[in-house]
Amino acid sequence: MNRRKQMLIDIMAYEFTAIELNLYLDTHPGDERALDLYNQTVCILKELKRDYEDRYGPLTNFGDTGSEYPWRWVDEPWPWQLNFAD
Amino acid sequence: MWIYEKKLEFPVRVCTTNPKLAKVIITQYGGPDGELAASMRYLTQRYTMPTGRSKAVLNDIGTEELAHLEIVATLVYNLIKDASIEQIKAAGLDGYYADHDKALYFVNGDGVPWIAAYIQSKGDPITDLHEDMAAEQKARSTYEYLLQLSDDPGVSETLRFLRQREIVHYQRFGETLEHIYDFYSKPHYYFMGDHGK
Amino acid sequence: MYSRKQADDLARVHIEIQHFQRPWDPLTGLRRGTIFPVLYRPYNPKQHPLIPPDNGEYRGREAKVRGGRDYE
Repeated sequence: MNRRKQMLIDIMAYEFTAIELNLYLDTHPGDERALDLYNQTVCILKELKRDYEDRYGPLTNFGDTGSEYPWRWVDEPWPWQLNFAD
Repeated sequence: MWIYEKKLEFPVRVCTTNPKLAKVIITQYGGPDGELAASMRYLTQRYTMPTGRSKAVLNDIGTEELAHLEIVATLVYNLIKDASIEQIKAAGLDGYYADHDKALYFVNGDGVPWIAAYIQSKGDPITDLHEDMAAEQKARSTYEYLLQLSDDPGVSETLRFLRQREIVHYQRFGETLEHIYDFYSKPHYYFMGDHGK
Repeated sequence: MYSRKQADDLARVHIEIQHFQRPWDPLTGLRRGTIFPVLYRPYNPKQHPLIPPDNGEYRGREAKVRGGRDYE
């Protein structure tokens, strides 16, 4: 569980940066530095997510990534079951 | 449309079983200034925002509030799930338990159920954005009061995150209001499909 | 629908638009709830609600003794 949680924390961190830049860009659409940083973050995030999904199954459904057999989307734990205190 | 990502926005940790704390935190789930109110308010106001930017801001902050709703639910779920009946009674949650066991429900800290009157969607974007800024301040204050009540360090860390998000959202809504004032102070010529980005 | 006159009312919200600055690294940003230092407002439950903190940190009487801002 430790590696899984560590990988999730990395994804959360980069995705949070992306969310912050997303909101900033919504009110500053002409800010080139912010947009560059956003695009860089997207690249890193894609790789982190792919590594995570290779090990632990898809992070999204609705056609974004594939799944091994049997359908891994239904696997536990679901996000509210992961306590980062353990 | 919405895609769900199977992870939380923040690594939540809950250090204790504490139904007493859960009882107050649930107000940010189903209470007047909680994340359900926030997300529904912004997602329902977004339809009538006049510019692409304002639609984007309402859409994106509304979506993030759904992620926060999930975080609050995770806090309540983990604070309650291992509680004994004695702990539940001592926390004053026996009434809630009778109706919901340990499940989540949209109520405030006193069990008052959520109501659509908590939100407004007035159509006038200046009005709506003032409501949104007020909502973010109310949420921030509520998180501060919850931080005063919390004695679980993991829970407090999460509450601090959620509180800081409200401050950032307030700034974004403020910037959007400025943009809307700007938008309405200039003459616009409308052609087919041109809605003044 | 919306007249120009209303936009020139006396009572009016004044907003400072944020300028871009180098953000914190992702993990620091996640921990603090924002990647932008200028928006960071840490909360101490024991601090006085109406006294503004210095740089987001409450130093109480010490700030005055060390030549900080005089509130009196």
